Amino acid sequence: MKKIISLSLILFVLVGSIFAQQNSSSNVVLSALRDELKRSTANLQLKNFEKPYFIEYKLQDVYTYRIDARFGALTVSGGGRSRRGSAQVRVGDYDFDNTNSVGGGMDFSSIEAIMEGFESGPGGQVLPYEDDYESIRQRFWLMTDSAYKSAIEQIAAKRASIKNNPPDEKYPDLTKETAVTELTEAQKIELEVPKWEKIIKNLSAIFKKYPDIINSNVSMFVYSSDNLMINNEGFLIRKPANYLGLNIQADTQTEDGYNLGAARTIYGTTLNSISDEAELTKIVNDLAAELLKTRTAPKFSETYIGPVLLTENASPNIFAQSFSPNLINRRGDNSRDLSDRINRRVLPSFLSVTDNPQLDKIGQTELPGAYKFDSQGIEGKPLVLVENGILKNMLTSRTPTKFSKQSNGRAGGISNLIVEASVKKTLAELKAELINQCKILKIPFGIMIKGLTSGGGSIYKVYSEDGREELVRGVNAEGVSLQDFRQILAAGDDAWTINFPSRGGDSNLSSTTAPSILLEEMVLRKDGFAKSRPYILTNPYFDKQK
Amino acid sequence: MKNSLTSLWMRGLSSFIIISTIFSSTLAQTNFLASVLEEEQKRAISILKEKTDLPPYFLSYLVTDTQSWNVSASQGVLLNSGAGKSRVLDTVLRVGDFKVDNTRGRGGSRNSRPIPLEDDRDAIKSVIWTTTDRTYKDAVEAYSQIKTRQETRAAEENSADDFSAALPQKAYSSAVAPKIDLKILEARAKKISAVFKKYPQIFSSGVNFSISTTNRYFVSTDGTSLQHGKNLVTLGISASTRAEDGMDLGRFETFSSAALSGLPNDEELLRVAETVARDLMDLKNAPLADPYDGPAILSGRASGVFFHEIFGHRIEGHRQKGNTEGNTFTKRVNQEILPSFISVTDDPTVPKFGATDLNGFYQYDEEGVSAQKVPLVESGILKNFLMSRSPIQGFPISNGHGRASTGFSPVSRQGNLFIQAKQTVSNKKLREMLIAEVKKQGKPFGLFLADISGGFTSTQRAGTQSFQVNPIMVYRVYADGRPDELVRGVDLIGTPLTSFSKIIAADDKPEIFNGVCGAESGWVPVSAISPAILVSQIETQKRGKSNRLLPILPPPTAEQKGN
Repeated sequence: MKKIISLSLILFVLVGSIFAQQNSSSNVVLSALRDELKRSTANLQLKNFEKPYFIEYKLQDVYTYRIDARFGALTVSGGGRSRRGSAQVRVGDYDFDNTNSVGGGMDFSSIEAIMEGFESGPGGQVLPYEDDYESIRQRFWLMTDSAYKSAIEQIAAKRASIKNNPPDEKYPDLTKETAVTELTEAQKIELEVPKWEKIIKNLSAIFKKYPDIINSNVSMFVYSSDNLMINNEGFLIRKPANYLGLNIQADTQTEDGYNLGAARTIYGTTLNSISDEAELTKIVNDLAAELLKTRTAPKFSETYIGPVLLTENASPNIFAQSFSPNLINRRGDNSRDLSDRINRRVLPSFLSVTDNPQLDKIGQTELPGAYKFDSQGIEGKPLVLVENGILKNMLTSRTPTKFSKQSNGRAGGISNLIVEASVKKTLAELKAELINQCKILKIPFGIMIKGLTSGGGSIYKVYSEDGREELVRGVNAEGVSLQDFRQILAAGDDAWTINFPSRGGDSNLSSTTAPSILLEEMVLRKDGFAKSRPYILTNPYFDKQK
Repeated sequence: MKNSLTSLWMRGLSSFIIISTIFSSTLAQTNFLASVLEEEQKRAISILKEKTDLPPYFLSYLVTDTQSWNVSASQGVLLNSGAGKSRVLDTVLRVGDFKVDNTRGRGGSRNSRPIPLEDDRDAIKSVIWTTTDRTYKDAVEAYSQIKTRQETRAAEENSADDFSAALPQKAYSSAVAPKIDLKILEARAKKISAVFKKYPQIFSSGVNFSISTTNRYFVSTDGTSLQHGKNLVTLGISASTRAEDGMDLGRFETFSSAALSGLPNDEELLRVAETVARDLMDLKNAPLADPYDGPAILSGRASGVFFHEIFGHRIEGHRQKGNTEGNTFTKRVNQEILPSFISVTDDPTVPKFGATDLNGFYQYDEEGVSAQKVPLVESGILKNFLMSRSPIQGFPISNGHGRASTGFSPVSRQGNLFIQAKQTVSNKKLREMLIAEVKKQGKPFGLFLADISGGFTSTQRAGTQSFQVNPIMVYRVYADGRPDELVRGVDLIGTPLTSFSKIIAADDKPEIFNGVCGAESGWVPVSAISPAILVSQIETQKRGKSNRLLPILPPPTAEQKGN
């Protein structure tokens, strides 16, 4: 249930709530945060030092549960609830404050400052999870105090460092933004533990059919959180963040002694995303079959330099790994982001890229990376990043840069990135184009990579003479550079979506959707890994079957 | 290597346990796990004998099955409440022979893996066989490196064997998990922790109940097959604050028992919490101690920690053989190392002292050897070392002190360390003797170290052979009859051999320190039992302190009440 209320109204409601709804738990928490925030903003000041200009509190209630099974038996089943809190304090002003230190490693000037920072730090403290007004205020009182003292030390160090070593360019330290109030009720994922234990056990028991698979594991993880953020600028946001995942892993060893593994994780926001046991059974069997097929596939023994067709999950994977991180605007001379290429070509003209945090589903795939407001309270609206191959925008947070004066609600980086083609080809056409390229280069085969597993891709030789596909193993693909993305020859009429854990931000996951693509050139070499020692012992379960 | 004796509560605070559901007790099939382990051990040995040139001469499996409950509260509200279960397999495999094997100089090849929580034979075996295979290959690789090194380098200083034989043991018993109602524990933790709400100047405080039922299943190629268990209940009450000058101050009390019923009742615990709070406020206002050099009384608990650190860790057998170890006592067997009225014994077979359960009690160690009473010092003369299955010259076999927590290779460790005095005096007399000694030395006061939080010691050659013990409650005892005065910021320091010679008397009321000890084989529960002792000279240093200021704003609760 969503409630959007204007700023003036919410203040009234909250004041009223203290009297009217004493027993409503979230109000107890909110009152404690509001009262301590108000007191700190008004009175917190160390003699002869400046007052804080910015104070922000976060409080997060988290419920997690994990179930693991192996060979039909549970190895892990557990979880629990916890609450964390953190306080951020800035001294100075929007133009110059204690953050974004220039000297590198000059953030902390003393052990004390490190200790103070540690106690109030980004990860925050574990708090009692019962709603008790006094103990919440007590904790935030101490966290604010620590964070303030740490900020004072930081700004002194930063001033000293700038005096000695003035920077060439100066940017403000925090963007000015319009305050937002939005309270969204949390929707906890209700997990029926015994039911899911049974499903995970059943799925893990499938591997009892495959004597050549040495280790296997099936695991599920549920994360359900309720996040509250309040600051002295008037931001007040409560939002849920839920995700869950089901992971399947298996490994084997080839006859000639190489270890091979396969893994797949399905992510979602609701249990619907993994609710079809028959479908999951098929996924486990497919993963096992693919792994065993790879196990007996011929070894890749050459160095390949030539065109590569990336399809299935391999395509979004390559965008997520090598392209989209450069769209996150970062501060500093060492930033390798793409901001100096605004209005220049970064992709072929038939490709466009958007990032849309407010999209919660693509086809049947749920997108747990979706959000309305980022961790700094800024709304993340859909954003065109690349239009017909030309870079148009970057992902920005409240940290100003040479490029950015305003946040576009991307404190957590990429949310749901979508690569779309204006000229679309079928997979058959893409394959034909791959073969065509090989013929021009006079090479006997091209390469097609299907990212069936998240552990690695399934790699096929596609022979130019007859188009036949041959699965190979032991391939090491070299990284793809930004230049290589400009050399994409064609894209498919399909769309593949992956969810993956992201760094930073509190949405925890990101997604990337992309069509199959044909790259002009990639370098693939035979895998340099040494042989492993072959197994001497055997699995008694399979000995018994013989 | 640092070894420290800290209380269980300290550990409870820093580790937030993974909470998981409780499965039905495994006790119905008492010998299930032992039988699975035996089958797999026999199968592995027979395959490795058949298929390899270097079959293991020793293979052991240890499964540690733990059920635990943990409840913490602070200021009357819950911080954490949950139960968990884990089952971990530790595999030890040795190739070569007792004289030289794959563990030489590297503490053993041990692989630790979680195994299914359910009694599913096929699933458990699916972990055992891969782990054994891997452990075997690691062992062979290590052994070949050791052989090469032996051929290319000078002989080591101490050429004792790598491993000793042990008698086969067969015994089956188990600890039965208590019926725990988390709701009751939650209510108790909340009630006791609420005491600290009256003290807004105490920044952080808490009450923690930690209960565990641990059953161990051990099989080895010695022919040993064991199942044994232990219940351990600990309760910690702690609080901390900061003095005006920035010194961080803490005070805590812990209680250990084999059952919840062995803990003090709530009325008593509320009193303890009050004492902890008041002690802490007294400490906050106490004067800062200056470095001191002179006579002191160590309470029984303080003395227990003192002996654990400066004596106990140096009497651990494996420390006599390392080239990097200080070997303080290695060549002093049958020599006087303590005053002749002092004897020291380590006896893990004792479950209780008086009415108190001892933490250091166990029946078998983690190498499948039965726990034994070991007289270490008799009338001041060094007689023995604490031995694991790693022999040293003159001490070829284990005396059941090869201990480890899950995932670590066992080394020799303490269990219940008993410090006994042949001549004792009353506590009153001991105090009179302190004052006499103070006067004799021309000092204005002596020290009384009433309670202690723990300490650490360094036994390595590199670095100083020293120890540090951290007392919490220290009083100046004046020669002129003024009342005792609490001081803060005292750390007891020194070097081991000189410290022993300064013990001049002991009282007649032994006290117990129950705690956990951390060293290279992990955390193990230990106890030290000692009378109070009078030492003619101790050295203390000022505890390091930060320059952190007190919070700028008053506590929110205090402000509210003021309004």
